[in-house]
Amino acid sequence: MDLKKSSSVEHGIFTEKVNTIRAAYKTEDKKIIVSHIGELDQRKINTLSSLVEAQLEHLKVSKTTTKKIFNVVIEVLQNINLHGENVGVDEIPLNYLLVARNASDFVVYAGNAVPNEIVKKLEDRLKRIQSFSTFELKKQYMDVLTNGSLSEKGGAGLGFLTMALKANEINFDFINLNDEFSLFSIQLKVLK
Amino acid sequence: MTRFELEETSNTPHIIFDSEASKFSIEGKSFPEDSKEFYRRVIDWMEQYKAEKPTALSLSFNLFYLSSSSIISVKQLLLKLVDLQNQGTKVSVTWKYDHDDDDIKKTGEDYQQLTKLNFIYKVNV
Repeated sequence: MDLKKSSSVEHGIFTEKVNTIRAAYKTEDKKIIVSHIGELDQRKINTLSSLVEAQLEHLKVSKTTTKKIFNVVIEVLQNINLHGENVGVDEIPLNYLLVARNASDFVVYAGNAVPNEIVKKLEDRLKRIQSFSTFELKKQYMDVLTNGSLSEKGGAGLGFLTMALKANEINFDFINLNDEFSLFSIQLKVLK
Repeated sequence: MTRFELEETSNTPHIIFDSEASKFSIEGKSFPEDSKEFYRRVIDWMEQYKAEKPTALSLSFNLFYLSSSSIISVKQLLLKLVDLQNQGTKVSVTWKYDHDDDDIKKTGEDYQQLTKLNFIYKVNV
C-alpha cells in the first residue's frame, strides 16, 4: 500500500522517502513486517510494540534478537513521541515506523520532522555515536547512567546510546522539508 | 505505613510495597510515557518509609524490559535505598532475570556497580 499523493511539498517529500524504503521490500525474503504512518501516542506505542513482538514470535526469531528489536522500536517511538514536531498535512503528522525483514537481519526504520535549528546538533551527536566502539558506547552509557537525570521532557540522554548498543548498525539522514523543518530518518540494523 | 500497589499495565510494571508483609517487588515491563511521573510516586513512598527507619528492606526486581528513561528512574529509586542503608537499614536487592536474558542481568550489574548495594541474582525458573 503506497501513501496517497498529496499536493503539499512536505508530504510529497515524506511520501517519497517512505515509498523508497518500501520499494526495497517486495520479495519473499525481504518484507516489511510492521508499518505505521502518522499519529503516535503512548497507546499506539504499546500496540505497535506488541505487534512487533507477535510478528517476531510468529517468525520464530530468537528471544535475544526479539528483545533487541523490541528495545530499538520502543526507543525510536518514544523519541518521536517526546521530541517529534507536529508537522503534518491535514493533521496527519509526518511520522513513520517500518520494521523490515531481510535474509540475515531486521531493519527498523523510523522518521519524524525536526526543527532545522537542531539538525546540526543531532547530526553531530549521531556521528559521534556512530564512531564509537562498543567499549566506548558502554562507557558513555555508564557515564550518563551515573550522572544523568530526566529532563523536563522526560528524556534520559540514553536513548540513542541504547539503540546503538542494541543494534549492529545505525544510519541516519536529514531531508529538508521547508524553511522550518527537516525530515529526520534513522535506520537500525539488528542481525538475526 | 500504608500498602502501596500499582497494577501492571501493558507498559508499566506491577509494584507492591507492603511493609507489614515485608514484601517489596517490581515486576513486568517498564516503558511509561512519562517515566519521571510514574516513578515519582514510587520514590516518594520510599522516602516516607525511610522516616520509619526500618531495620531491613529487601526489594525484588523481575523486569522483562526497561526503557532508557525507566533505567534512569529505577536508578533514582535505588539511590533512595542507598539513603536507607546509610541511615542504618539493612538493604538488599534481589535481581531476577531469565536465563537467556543477558541484557537484564547486565542492567542489574550496572546498578550494582553504581550503587554498591548488596545484589542477589536469581535466574527465573
